[in-house]
Amino acid sequence: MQTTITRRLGLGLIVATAVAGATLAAAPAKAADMEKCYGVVKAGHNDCKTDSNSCAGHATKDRDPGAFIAVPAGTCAKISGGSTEPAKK
Amino acid sequence: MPALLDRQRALRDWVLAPPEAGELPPLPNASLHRDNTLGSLAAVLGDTFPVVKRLVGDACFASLAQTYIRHQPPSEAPLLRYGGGFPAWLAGHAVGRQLPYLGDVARLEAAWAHAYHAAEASPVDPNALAALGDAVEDSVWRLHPSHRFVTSPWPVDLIWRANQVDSGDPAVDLDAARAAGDSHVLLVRPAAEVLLIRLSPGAFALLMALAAGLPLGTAWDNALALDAAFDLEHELTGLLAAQVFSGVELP
Repeated sequence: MQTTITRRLGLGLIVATAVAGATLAAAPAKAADMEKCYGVVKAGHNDCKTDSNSCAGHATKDRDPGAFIAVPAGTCAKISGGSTEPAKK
Repeated sequence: MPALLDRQRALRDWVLAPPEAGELPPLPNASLHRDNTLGSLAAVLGDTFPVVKRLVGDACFASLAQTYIRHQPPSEAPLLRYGGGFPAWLAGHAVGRQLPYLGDVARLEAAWAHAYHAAEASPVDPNALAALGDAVEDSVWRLHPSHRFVTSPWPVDLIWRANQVDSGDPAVDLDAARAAGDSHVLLVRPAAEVLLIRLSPGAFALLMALAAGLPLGTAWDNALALDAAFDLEHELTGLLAAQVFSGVELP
């Protein structure tokens, strides 16, 4: 009980100290420094892709999009350990 | 003569049909339209999940994306949120089972996309916070609306950082990272950039309680129950500096 009271009395001080520390620790971006405006999207994150209508040419000849098999061949080779093999039954 | 809507539906169904179905195209040159549709939607997924794409490689990702697109095509015209079901789908796919961290990395990227596009909010006023005194015990803290938590047995934040374009491709040792226990990551965008913050188990418990609307005193108890050495002042200093909170209210 005593510890609880002691702790409770200290909480305001802890928060105040944290506030002071946070203000010193960083000069975080203020609203004026914000570069991003809501609604402006990252390049590539466009609302609607229009390639379908513009014949932008992802494929100019018939091919079978499912014909190639999904085999990981990227940077996953640099991630080692863990059980990366399927469990044997 | 079929109505326009019937023709559009027939074309859609043909575009999304599995390639092995081998149905004849409903229109001449429809395969051009199919390849462009699948190709551009795969590009959308690649923009939202660049780390997954990098991990498995371009060819593998293209194959995964097109299989997923057929499984779960967009349900609305804006594509900002497209791919919300991709992490869970990927975790159940053969490639996701072969690389068991892949689904969680995708969840992290989906959370990143959410944080990036979430609404703006001003950070909490530090002076108002300090002025509360010991009444702060009963105060309810609002987290920034862009926040998301991702918890994984895998070091998803390390994998994410190692696969940023300018990271120099460092290696990640899963066994060493997993020995430290689950990874708790907070994603939040208080200003222009999305922040990835690795949370201690105590800080995770504190923030989960605050996010659920519990008062600071209770949230602190939760953190202490998990980690008796939890240092509230230290953790709050870091979280306030990162502008994780957007408001504090007394009930």
